[in-house]
Amino acid sequence: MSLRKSIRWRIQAWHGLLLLTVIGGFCVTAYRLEHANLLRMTDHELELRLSALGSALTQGGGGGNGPPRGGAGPMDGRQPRGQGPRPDDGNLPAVANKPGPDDEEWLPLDDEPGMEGGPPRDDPNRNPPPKRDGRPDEHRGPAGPPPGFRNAQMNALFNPKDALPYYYVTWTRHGSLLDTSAAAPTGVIRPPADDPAFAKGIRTREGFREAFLFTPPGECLLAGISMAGIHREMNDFAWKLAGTGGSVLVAGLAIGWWIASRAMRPIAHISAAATRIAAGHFDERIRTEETESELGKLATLLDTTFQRLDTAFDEQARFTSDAAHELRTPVSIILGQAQLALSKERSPSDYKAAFEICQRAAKRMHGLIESLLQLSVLDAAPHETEVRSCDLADLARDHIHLMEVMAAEKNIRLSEDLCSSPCRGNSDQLAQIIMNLLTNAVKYSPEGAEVRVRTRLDAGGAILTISDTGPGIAAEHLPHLFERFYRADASRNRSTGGAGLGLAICKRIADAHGASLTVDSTLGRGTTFTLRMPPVR
Amino acid sequence: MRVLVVEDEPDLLGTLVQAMREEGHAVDEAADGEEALYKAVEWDYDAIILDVMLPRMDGFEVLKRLRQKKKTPVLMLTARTKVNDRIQGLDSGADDYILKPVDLDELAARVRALIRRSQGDASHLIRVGEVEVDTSARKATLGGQPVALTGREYALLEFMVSRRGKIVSRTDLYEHLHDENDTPMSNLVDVHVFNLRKKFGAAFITTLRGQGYSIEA
Repeated sequence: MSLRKSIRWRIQAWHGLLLLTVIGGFCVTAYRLEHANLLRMTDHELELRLSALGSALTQGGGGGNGPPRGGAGPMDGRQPRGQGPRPDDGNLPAVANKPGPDDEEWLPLDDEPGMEGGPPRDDPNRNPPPKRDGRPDEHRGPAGPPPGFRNAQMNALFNPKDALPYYYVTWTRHGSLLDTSAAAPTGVIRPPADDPAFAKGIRTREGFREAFLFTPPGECLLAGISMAGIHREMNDFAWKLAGTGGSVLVAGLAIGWWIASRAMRPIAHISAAATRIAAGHFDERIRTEETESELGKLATLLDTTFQRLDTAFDEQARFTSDAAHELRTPVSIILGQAQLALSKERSPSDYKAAFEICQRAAKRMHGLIESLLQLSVLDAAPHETEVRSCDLADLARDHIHLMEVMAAEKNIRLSEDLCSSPCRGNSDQLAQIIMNLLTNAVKYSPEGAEVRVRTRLDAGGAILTISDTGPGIAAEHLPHLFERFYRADASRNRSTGGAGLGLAICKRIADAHGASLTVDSTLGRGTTFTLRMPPVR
Repeated sequence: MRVLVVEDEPDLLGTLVQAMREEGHAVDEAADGEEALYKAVEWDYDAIILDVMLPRMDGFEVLKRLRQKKKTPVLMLTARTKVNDRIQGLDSGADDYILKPVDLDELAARVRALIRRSQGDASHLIRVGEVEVDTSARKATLGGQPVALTGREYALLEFMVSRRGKIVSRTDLYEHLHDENDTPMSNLVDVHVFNLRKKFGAAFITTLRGQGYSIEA
């Protein structure tokens, strides 16, 4: 069996495909969820740091001069953004600007370049801030952020010793670099500030995730982190997912294979048994124990079918063997007589005797062949008979008449009791039943016996009975009486008796008509055959 | 030799009996199993041809019961081609079997072979001194010269030669050379013996007074 056609392989293939889809879908979803989750956490961290940065900046920048930032500082104002439902950017100004008086706290840090002598007012976009070589402290010089800016909290939040440290960059409202943390990468560009007063946001840029914020005065604060960590974590997660998914897939396939094998085992069993039966072991059976399961029922059905086929084959073989046997005897006679006649010169009377014997044997063969042909026709097309309305009484009357000579020879009295019994059937075939039964009755009844033919009509249909007062038939023979080649009376000489097909033919004709043919007999009392036709509709 | 033919089909029985008679055997017939068993036990047949399908008692049963009493060679006649039937026949004590339709020449040859084997002869040629008997061709020679014999004379010669070295009583001769329908005329045996002595020499058959005849081995 090719793999493509094997049910087991097809089940396995579909199972594998389904499993792959489910596991793949699950992995992709899990990966995306995890990615989103990681980003959200990162963003939260960034915002946390941004607000800390803002808070530190205003403390330090106002710093000097301004009052310490109270609880209503921008940090507080922004914190809820990281925790609560994230407001859209439009809300930010409202929050940021909520405390009107706080406005004054957002002092421009580098508003007066001349005053502070801050970093050169070059185009900040053109000139990246010196941060690696120029430590913020030193490059800021006196104009750097106030001393309190780098407090312990900031160091903890932007610890450059972390494997992937957070960094910050700040710009003045004019766009010049104010400050950067040690870990900040080069080339951090200030986010475009269309309306710096109200802008905040998160961006992903060349492998970095950055959150930025414009203070109301216009300074830009930016906190960022390399995406390498996220990528690495997502990579690990992807590998784990792939590993787990692969294992589940393999396990699922194995379990599927096992289930398919289990499910297919009875089929294989049935198939093997059927193969052996097909090879000629007709007595073999599937014999399943699980007769209640679907396959068990199938096996039982197949067993029943095989049993019937086996029986049919046996019957056929026995029939053929019997027929051959019946034909061999007359052939033996003809061959033997011819051989004898030809073996030497003989008198004309010897030849005549030989021919007579051959003729008898040939007639017997002829009768046998006719019977066999008739049976085979009845077997091949039992219902293809010409059906007409007829009357059993008329048929019986005609054939009783034909039997009178034979009955008279044995001094047998033929009596009739014929009521009109209309039925539908093939009158030739029904007449043959009557003739066969009558001939048997006369042939097997002793001298002086009586043979009685009755027809009548009852609610069930037309009925014909032929009874004799002969020796009767032993009960053990009755069930086999209608079998082909069965002879109840073994002592009967075969040259006078038929081949044992007459009653079989009668039965076959009755079956084809939907009629029943039954026998009732008592030893010493006589035998009665009853033909019961189906009712005429 | 005396042969019993058992067959229930009268025309076939007649054919077989005629064929066996023309082979020179004395033939009895039986049409059913019981008659066959009775005759087979009652008489010492040289061979029995037994059909399997018989009324009253089938051939296998007849054979089984016969074997409890006698070793008469039996050839089964069967129309059944199944190996099982043949095996069953041979196992119940049949010495040979032949299938219907029967070839009469083959049947005759098998009966001859059966009889020959039962008497311990391996060949169809039996030699006694100058005399040679060919049981297959049913002919005898004396010193290489063919001797003309009637059917009865040959039958007596073959019977005596097959029992050479033994005393054969007049009753034995009578019973094996005549069938059940022959009229008992015992002196006919003496006539045939007289004729055989004339053809093969007076010393060929010795008379043992009060016991019978004998041919020296």
